[in-house]
Amino acid sequence: MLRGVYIGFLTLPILCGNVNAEEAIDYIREIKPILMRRCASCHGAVRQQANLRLDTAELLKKGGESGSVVSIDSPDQSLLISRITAVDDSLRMPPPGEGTPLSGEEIDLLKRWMKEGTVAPHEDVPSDPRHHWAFQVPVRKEVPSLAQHPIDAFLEVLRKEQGLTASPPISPDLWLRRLSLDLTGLPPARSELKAFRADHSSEATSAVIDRLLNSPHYGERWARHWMDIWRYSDWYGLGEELRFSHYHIWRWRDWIIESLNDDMGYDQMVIAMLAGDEVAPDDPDTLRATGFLARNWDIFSRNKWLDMTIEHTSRAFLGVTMQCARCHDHKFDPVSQEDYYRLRAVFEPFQIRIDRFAGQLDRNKDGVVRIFDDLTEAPTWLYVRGEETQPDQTRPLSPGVPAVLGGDFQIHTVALPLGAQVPDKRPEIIQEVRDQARNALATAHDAMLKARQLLLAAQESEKAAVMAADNAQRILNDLQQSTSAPSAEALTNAKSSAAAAAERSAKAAIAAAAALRDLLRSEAARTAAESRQTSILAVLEAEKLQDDCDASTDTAGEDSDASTTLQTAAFAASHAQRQQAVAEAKLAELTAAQDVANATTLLDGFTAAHAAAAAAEVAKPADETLKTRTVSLQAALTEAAGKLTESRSKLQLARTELSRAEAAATEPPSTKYTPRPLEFHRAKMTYRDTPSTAPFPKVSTGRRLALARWMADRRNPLTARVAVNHIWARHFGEPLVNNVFDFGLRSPRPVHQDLLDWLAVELIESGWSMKHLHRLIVSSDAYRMQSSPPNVLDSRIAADPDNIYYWRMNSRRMEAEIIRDSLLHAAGRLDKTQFGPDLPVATAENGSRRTIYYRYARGDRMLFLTMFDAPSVEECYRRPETIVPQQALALVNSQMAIDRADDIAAALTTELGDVPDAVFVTAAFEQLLGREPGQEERHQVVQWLQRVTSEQHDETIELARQTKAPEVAKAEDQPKATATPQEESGRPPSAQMTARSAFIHVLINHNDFVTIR
Amino acid sequence: MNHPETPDSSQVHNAGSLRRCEETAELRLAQGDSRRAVLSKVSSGLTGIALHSLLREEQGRGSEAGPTSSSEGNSSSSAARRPSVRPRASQVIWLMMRGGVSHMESFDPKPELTRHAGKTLSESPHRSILDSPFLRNVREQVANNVIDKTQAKIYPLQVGFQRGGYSGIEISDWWPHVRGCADELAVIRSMWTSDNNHGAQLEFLTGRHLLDGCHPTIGAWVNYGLGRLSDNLPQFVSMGPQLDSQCFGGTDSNYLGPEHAGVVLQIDPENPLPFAKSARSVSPRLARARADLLGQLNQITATEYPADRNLIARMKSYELAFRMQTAIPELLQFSSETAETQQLYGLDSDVTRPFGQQVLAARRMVERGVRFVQIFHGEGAAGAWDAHSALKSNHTSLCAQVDKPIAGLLTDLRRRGLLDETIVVWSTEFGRTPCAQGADGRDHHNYGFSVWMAGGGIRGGTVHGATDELGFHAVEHRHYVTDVHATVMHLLGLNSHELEVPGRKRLDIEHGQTIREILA
Repeated sequence: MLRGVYIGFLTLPILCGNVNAEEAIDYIREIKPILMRRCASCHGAVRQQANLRLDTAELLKKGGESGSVVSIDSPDQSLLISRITAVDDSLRMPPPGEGTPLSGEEIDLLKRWMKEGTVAPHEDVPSDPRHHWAFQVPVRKEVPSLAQHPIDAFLEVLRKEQGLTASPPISPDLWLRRLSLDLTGLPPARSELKAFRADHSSEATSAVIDRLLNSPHYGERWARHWMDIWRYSDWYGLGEELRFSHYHIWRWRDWIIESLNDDMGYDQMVIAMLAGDEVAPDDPDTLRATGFLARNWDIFSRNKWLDMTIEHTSRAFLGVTMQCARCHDHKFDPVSQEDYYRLRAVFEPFQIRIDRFAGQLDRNKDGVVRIFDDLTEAPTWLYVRGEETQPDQTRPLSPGVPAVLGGDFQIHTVALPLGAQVPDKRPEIIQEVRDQARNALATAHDAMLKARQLLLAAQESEKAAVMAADNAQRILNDLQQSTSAPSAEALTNAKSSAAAAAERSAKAAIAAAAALRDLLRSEAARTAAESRQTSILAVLEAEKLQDDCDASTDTAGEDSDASTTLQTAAFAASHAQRQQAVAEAKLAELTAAQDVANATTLLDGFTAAHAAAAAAEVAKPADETLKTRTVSLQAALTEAAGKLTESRSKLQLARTELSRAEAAATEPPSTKYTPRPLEFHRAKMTYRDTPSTAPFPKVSTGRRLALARWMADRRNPLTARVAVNHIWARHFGEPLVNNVFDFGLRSPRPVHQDLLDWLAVELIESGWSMKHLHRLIVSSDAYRMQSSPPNVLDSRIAADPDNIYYWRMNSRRMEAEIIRDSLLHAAGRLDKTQFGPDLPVATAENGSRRTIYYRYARGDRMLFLTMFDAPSVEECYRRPETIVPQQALALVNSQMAIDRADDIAAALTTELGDVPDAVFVTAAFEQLLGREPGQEERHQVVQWLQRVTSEQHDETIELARQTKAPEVAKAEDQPKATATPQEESGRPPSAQMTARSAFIHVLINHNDFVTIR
Repeated sequence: MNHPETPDSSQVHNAGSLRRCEETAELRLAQGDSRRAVLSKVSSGLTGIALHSLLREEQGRGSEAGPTSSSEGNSSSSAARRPSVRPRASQVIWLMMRGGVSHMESFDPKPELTRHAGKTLSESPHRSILDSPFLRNVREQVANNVIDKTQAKIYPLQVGFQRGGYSGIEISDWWPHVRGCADELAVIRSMWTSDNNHGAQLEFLTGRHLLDGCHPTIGAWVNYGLGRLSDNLPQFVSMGPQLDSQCFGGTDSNYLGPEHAGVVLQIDPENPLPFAKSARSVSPRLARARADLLGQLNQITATEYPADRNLIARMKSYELAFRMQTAIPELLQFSSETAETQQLYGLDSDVTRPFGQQVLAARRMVERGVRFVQIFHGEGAAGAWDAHSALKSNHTSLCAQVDKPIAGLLTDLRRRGLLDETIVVWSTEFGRTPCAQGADGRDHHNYGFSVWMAGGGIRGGTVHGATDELGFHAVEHRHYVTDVHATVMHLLGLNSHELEVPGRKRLDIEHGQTIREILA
């Protein structure tokens, strides 16, 4: 029986095949697909190798420059068959590298079709690809008169043609929810819902639209959309090794949010992301935008890094895929392999660096990651068959863009300001250098003052010790010279006191001497710090004048005044550096002398101790402890002696150095000063690369700026259309052009091209204002339509099941981030802080910042998000919208969903006070679904709450009873998980609260919570 | 060929498992090719489940995508889900040893290595290896990643070989139990791949070099190409240490849509998959009450929006989720297995238990209608089999972890009549160099290595293809990794060319070619 089922439908086609053998070959079904798949890329509309086209039967029969390719009488003799069956690789079609030979079956079909007389229906000749709709500059057609709003007017024309009518408007409550989620990613607060209901003015809707577009959350919501398209990814590394994307990419994310909130023109955003370093090389805020390019960094392969850059720049802004042309001329679009490498030449010079901030020397900890042109002379070769190992070095390719897209591509070299050439010469870094020198001097000065005080104190102590010693000695002398014979005990005491005092006095003298040396050293240190400051200030002055001089030489030739000033400054810098060398050598000498003194003291101490121990050992030869002590003291003695020798030789060196420095200081004045050691860090180019530290170029090639300006030009046929399509898709759930990243020949003319083009021109003419476009879209009637007809038999469902003609709105599912943010928002717990470094994923479950601020990298992102189709960091031009059981598990079981349900229930209870369940239910529906419950819903839930409350009440009593009996309390299902707010306060949640939390948990799982209806 | 150092105990094991596999082979012969007959002969309980799920499969074939999934952008037509050639099997268990198993010391004996040990390739009579055009079939992810072929010295075989089964396939003494199942295996000794680093793991599953970006894996294709077999379980399950984080490890469905991606399961009935268990314990009564209310409320909404198909799909996804919450922990409860079965998989030993549990779970999944089960073995970013040094101790200990469980799986599937319906693939990303790395290791080797297949539609007891005398290049019947995909797809009744997704051009090399010589 099991096999029978297989046989049932599997043998049938075979039987049909046998019957087919006697039927005529169907050109459209059997022949054309072979020719299109295997031949038409070189013999078709894009390219006509040998002047032969095989994309229609008529063109095939017409033949090419070698004449006819068919033969009805003897197909085997035909050019077509002989070439596809040729054994010789140089003759066979498709040629090796272009495709595998045709199969025997395919060849048989072609022969039979020929034998049967090449029967085929008439077809239109496919047109020249350059006439493809998307490659023509968009033109605004006159708005039809069918409706007030242009969008509705354009849609209504086609609806009318199709006999479709627009759906009625959705309820105002749900419109508000749709709008709020679309524009800010947060559902309306109940207060906002109430205010909107109460506003009966004619401006009510436009006021809401304005409020939401002006909300800072607008930027956060739409930044995430654009971050999908622009492939946002935080850095990813293995251990300490950075592998993909780059540090501090979050600054680009912040730039996107800010720019959207400021309604920066889309054209300006494109320019800033591709060439921020060329258009505003001095402005760290704009430089953040080049994170778009920095993000493509790939430690393993510069080639792949550039490939990704080319492909995704094309897809994101032009809606064109270039990758096919990497290895061969594009099979579908009029883009040649050379076009690909010309585009590569635009990016060939770029490299990444991190410009540090004053106050943070570690670039991995903070800084602006940015793009700059580094390899300005690097040639671009075409790689034969796309293989890096096979560059065609016969001719380097100049930068360019595919001609089919028209427009002007003008490259102008960009001269860079000093701060961009040498980041260490930015004013804030120079200020940092000054501050550091000043602070070092202040520290040295303080140290000197302290040493001075310590010396005074040591001298005081010494004075006191000397007096005490004198005193003790006097007492002893008195005693010894006393006429009355002193007791032996008193004499012994006095002797030992005098000896002890003398020892203290000697120690104090040593300490005072040490303090004096210390003071001398810290005075020298202060002098050195002062001379360092003088010297660095002089160097900065000389550097500045040198740079000014270089700049003016570039423009106006020699300036003798300036060069005199520069010379004076250079002398001053050189002089200051010589003085600094002397001061530092003096400091070194004093330090060394101090070390010698210390070593001497130490050695003296050990020598005495050793002598004493040796004597004691002689006295008691049998004492092993004494023997050991002598041995260890001997070792210490030897070590101390060694140190002394070492410090003496250092002192000698220091003295030599001082003499050298002093001698140098007396040499004739010079302009040769030592400039600051400047840093020029770059990212690695490849895995085993040691990044260069050579100075950055003084100019940028201007290639990327040329590309960006060409894209942002209103004559570019694609840029505005692609942007409009993305924005439309995120309001209506479906784009106007289905493949959002490929508007090439595989994208047929869209049904709504007139609307698309009108909106594209509107975007351009509004100064590329995206807020303008949003406002236009959301104020249309189309945007207000219901998403689901009340009757399943509605004829429009059958007539246009995919809603191509927009007879209804499309319902959508919230994106992963919006689910999390909405839950926090509904609980009143959303932390509205904006911007900043990516937050650790581990903190997200309990964290309350918006999801966009958490780390998002490959292998490191919230698990919850991945359940809801979170974007791939590789590419995500359009998010999938799936419905899978893992989502149900995440919303039912996750700590976050459970906690938020408690939070929301608690917040509503606090807000509402002691209210009947029916009031609570209404508020909960409004809070989570943005609408009131229907009568039936309210009724069901109220009943449910009562039942569950009473069950919970019983369970609480039961639990309390069990808790009193400890052996039962060990039962397995004891609640182990996190505390609810009530539990935290020490009281168990009331039965009513438990029931209400459970109900909120149900609403979170309600289809219409995650749905934008 | 028996290596003098082979421990005696392995011989004993060898004999034992050989007997088991032969028994079932006889059973198969006695019953002819009729799987139904085999099913009727084997003991009742579990067969009932298997039969049930297979029957459901028949009903499912050719029907539209499961009602629980909907995906925008790639509306896979029902035609794409209809088998286009006669299916020989319906399910797949794919084992992958991560890190690169030495083919010469497993399934492809090369006595020449011992003969010329210590010579460079140029000094050996096989110097032509270095002139082979096949050397160009490498695409380095990391430049100069491998030992210098011209300088390295040939490293002798580290283990002995014996013939297994009636077919007499030579298999090393590190694999005594698998050798006992030799008559089930079709060993392919002529594999090659292009990545000489561990990106080859993903390459084996997608058919594309890692530098080409992310692509759907074979499990996702199978899941996409065929309908559901079970209403309670995901259709593509992945176990063991998942691949390094790039491209979602080995479970990526990429443009086929997330509903076709692998679900990663842990062998932990408490926490088998993300969010499987409530983060806070809930009484069954309250859980039921919540589910009921959710159903009621969604139903009210469904009445208001009768044409909203997503709403229906979401309601069904909740039903499946609730069933999965029970079905998956049940799946991982091994207590219902007999002590004999547990021993067969090595659950009684600490060495074999971790992997044994996974392969036993795989059998239970196959019974319950999981379409594609993927099991990785070998922890670490590169994978544990990556024996750059101390190859002998490395492979000895790792083989001991997997050999018995794998043989147990084949034996158990056979005696339950499931092997006819299930394809088992044993794979690794590449082999290891014939020459030594350091004193006692072998480096990555992508030019020639071995895998084997067994089960439905596979001609057991087959050796196919060959490497040269040093095991360096695959020279006879060369197969790129996707030829294994094509073979699996063919046996499942799928034609991967017919699964093309609009807008996504696949290369010929991604489709591969069916290895017809190993088909029954």
